[in-house]
Amino acid sequence: MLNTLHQRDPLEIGDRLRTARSRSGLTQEDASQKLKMARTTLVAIEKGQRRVRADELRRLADLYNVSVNALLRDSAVHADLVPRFRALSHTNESAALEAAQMLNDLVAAEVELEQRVGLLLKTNYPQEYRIQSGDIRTQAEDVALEMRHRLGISISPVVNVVSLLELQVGMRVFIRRLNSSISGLFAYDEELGACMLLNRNHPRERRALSALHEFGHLVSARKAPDMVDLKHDPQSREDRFASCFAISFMMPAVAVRGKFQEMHQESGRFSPRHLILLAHYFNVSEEAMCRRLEELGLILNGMWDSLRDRGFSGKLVRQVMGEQEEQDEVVMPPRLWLLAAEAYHRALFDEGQIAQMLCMNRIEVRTMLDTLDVEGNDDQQSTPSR
Amino acid sequence: MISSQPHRANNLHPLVIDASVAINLLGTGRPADFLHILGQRVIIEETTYREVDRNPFNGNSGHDSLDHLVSKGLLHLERLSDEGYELFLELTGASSPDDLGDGEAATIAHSTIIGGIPLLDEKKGSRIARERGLTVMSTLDLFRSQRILRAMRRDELADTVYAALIKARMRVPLEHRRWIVDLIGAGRAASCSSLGSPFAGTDT
Repeated sequence: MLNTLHQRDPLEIGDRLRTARSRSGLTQEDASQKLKMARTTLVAIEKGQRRVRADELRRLADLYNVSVNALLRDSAVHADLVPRFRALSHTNESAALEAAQMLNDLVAAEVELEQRVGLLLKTNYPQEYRIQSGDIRTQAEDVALEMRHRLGISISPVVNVVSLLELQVGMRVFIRRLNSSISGLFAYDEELGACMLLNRNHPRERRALSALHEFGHLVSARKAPDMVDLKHDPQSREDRFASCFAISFMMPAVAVRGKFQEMHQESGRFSPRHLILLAHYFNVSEEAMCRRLEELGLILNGMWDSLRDRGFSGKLVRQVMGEQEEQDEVVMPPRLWLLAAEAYHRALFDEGQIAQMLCMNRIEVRTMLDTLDVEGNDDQQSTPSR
Repeated sequence: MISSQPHRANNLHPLVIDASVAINLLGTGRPADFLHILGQRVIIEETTYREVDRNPFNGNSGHDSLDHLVSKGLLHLERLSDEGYELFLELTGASSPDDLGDGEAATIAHSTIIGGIPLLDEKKGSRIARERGLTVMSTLDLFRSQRILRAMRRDELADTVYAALIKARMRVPLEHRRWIVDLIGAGRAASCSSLGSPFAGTDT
């Protein structure tokens, strides 16, 4: 309706259109040519100097393949985080940019859901630890143990890292399929908080370590200048601290030593079978467990390489233990899941809106809603129509 | 649900399906049969069509299936008129919480313009359509329509509905759960996560 567009702030709509164009990879010149629209008109619309007309909006939305509701929704949130990548150096730039955009979209969606549902994020961030000169590993081990005590888990195994970071620390955690060279992304913003995106294509155990690596960034250098630098040295001091922190948090030295001695005393030796059990106990991969034992000097260096060369794999054992994730299983952090279900239950958003906001398809959204049985306690469509 | 004529599709008006309904129909594995039996003009608006297109269906693109239905003349792909688009903008740009996603807004706007009946499965869209004076139907209304009940054997219908529950995870409002459980049987119902709690809605 004419009124709908007249009620909107042209600056806001122009800005959203500019973002949509940019995301579709089009320049102003490209877009105006494809639409047979004067470039000056497009520029004026994007700058909010001229209101977009209905027919123009239709053509622009079609060209950019963007939801009109997302362009017009008064509660829509825009996030402009510049994430830090935990990626291998050969990550291609387009995959990295796509992942960064995904993180922004998901953060914006979660914040909008929070605002509409009325459940704002409660953060419990630790004070930032300034990395000192000296041995990084020792510092990371001490800080990890301190964080464990702060979260009340002492040296117990961590069953669900994502829940812990979401619900007890108040980090925003998202899990989506990303280019396999990307483990995770981290961004911190005073207003939006600490945000991370983990790769669904990686096994759960690896995602846990990636999540704790990003927690390590929150602990040690959250306000350091954010910069997407795909060629940055992954062994920078800051990154090494985060990696050591993740390993120490997941497998605290004191707990690993205790369990190792216990097993050794019971059997008089430490076998691959013990390695599987220990990895299972700490919820990590056999490789991560073995390397940690090597690092702590509990087994010989090079043990993992030797085991691997002999064809050792814990995959089969894990399948028997029922630990393998189904490939098509929807993996959704609990807080986002609850927010989306609550918003749907209260009819604040429909299925299509939730799918669009959370970058999911409708079957995935339905799967998520089914799990919480959002229909179970409401009176959907019970009012007869005319 | 149409209160005056429960479970009866109105032959005089074309039906305009929303993405959610289209996905359920595709989930049955027999969308062509359903549309053929209904014997009514069934329409999908372009915006809605694109939404379904973005939902890969069990390895097969929904697009292919919808394409097939369109090419067979069982489903009509239509584009909102300029007047309809104005209404579409009104619906997508309404103040929260009355704003609608593109697919539902297009379904309602197109129904309004052509005098059709929107097929919507969601309470928000259904409420807004009713407030605008439209008669609203849902996927379950289609499954329970007289034409379908007369034309399909009970076991055949049960298999088809069960397929929609499993493959499309069709959502089932509480008031339809008893009917569904009776149709497909308690054993199969127990395996349908979209039926929710085994007790919810089945004691009415």
